[in-house]
Amino acid sequence: MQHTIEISNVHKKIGKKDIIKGLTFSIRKGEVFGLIGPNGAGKTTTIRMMVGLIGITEGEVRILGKSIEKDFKQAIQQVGAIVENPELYPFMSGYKNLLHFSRMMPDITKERIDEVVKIVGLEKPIHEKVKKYSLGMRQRLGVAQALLHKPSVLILDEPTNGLDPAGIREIRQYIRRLAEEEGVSVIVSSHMLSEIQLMCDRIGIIKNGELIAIEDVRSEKTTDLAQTFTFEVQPIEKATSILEEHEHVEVKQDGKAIFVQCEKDTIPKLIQSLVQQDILIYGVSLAEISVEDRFFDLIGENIIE
Amino acid sequence: MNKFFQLIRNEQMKLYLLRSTWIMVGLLSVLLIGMGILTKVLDEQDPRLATDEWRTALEEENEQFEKEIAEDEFFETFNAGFIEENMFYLENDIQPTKYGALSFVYENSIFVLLIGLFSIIVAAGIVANEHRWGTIKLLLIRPISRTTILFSKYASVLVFALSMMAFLIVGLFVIGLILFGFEGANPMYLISASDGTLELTSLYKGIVADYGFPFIEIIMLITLAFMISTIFKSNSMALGATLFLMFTGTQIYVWFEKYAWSKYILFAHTDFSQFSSSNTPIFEGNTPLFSITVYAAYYILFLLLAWFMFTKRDIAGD
Repeated sequence: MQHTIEISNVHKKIGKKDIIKGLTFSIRKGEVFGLIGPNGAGKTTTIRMMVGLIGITEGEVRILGKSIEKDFKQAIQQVGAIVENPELYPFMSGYKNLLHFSRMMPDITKERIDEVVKIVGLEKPIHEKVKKYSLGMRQRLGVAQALLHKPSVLILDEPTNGLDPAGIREIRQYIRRLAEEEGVSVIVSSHMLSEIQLMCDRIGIIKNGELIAIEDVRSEKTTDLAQTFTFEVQPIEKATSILEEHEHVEVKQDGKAIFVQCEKDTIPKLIQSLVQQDILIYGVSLAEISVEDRFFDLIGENIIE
Repeated sequence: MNKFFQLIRNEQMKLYLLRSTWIMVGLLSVLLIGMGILTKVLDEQDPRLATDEWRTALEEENEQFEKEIAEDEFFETFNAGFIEENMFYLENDIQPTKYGALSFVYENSIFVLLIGLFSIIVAAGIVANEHRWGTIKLLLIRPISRTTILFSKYASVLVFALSMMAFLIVGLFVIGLILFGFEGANPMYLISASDGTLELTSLYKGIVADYGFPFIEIIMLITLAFMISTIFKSNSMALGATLFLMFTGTQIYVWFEKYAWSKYILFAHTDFSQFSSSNTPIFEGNTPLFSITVYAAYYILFLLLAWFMFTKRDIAGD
């Protein structure tokens, strides 16, 4: 699998404070990667390091193999980004803003500007001054400037911030299309779990400057790997001991139900053995654990603001 | 080089889309036109000066000046100089150059100070504003080095200052042409040399000196404002500090004059008119070469400090 971004053992120290304490992760071509964590966890700091806005104390960020510090120009040429809010020149029209940034990159034609305007659906207000734009319109313009030079890596900090539900859906679909059809690697940061869940392939959970887990979102429902099933049975104690006799099966119970971690294929066998021992089965279901649950499990508390 | 040109184009576009720039241009236009009308109304020249009767006109003018002095001694300070000039023309039998567009340009070189003020305002904002708007983040994630971006901004301020200078001179000339006409191909005027004698000099030379010398000072002030604004990311601090030094710079030099090291103070070396024939250097033994060296040293130091801060800085949340 080809990696477009490689982040290896990245540290950031500001004064004596360790803001980022050794991040390592890679993002594949055409993958949407979510960076999630409570405020102050280091999401924006990480993104700022990835685009060279702040120095890296230790470690390395590579974009298509080029170090963002040593080969800044070649590395950044592959990146389009919005860092924090999509702040554009308020006294200029949307079009002039795009023209401005197009002049800073090689070979961007007027046609390309028109194209990105169409992509983000800003044809109508593009010649109005940005200070008249709503937050959602600014967000779209921010995305437009990030796409101008057809980057292989798109970094969006809180991309759905300020968008209405329809706008969120649109951006989400657009991000997925970019990733799937054009092979763009997208990194989105957010504290809105539900949105990230819907648009990402993988999610990195960041807390106190550390990456505490990477969750695979897409493969969750299709995998053959071990999943957790809930058994509602009577009597529980007897059923538990029967289930524990099976191989490759992990059993837990809380007095009301039994939670079994196993592969899907073994479920019929388990039920069969319970029936043979006259255990009453009321229901067997797949215990869906959402990213949200895991997020709270991992973060330990509900401190998302 | 093409990239640098594109960046300057961007800066100029932003500059001229800001309302504050147009307020400056508008204000300047109003002042220039006002000055033209004021000069036309209050300073009407005797029309005979342009004819063969100019001698009579000058003699009558001198009589008028003498009468004023006799009535009130207060006028002595002003009129004595005018009388002396008129006498010079009469004695040497040279017809004075009639008042026209070039004279109007020459007389109003004080407006260069306003151009200085405007350019300092622009220099103080060109980096600090990007921080204030938050657009610095979008600016610095392009395949362009921070050095190039910084110097394109500095060059843009110089382009602005030069365009405003051109606007000022051309504006004054056109207004002067409409109101007073043109004085002829080789206009002359009188200056008093450092030994007190009068000397006839080309008006063109006078214009170049009166616009050129202050402009050299303005370039230094622009660079100072640009440096402060880049280091502290603060528009108002850069503007305040630079204007303060603009008005007190010479005074600061005078305070420390008695110390030997005072000759290295920047403000002893920003006014190069001290070396023209009608002036004396700010301290004895100062040479153009020494002034140029001190000027250049400060200039390079300011730009280096700005460059160092800009290229090394972390662009973190403000």
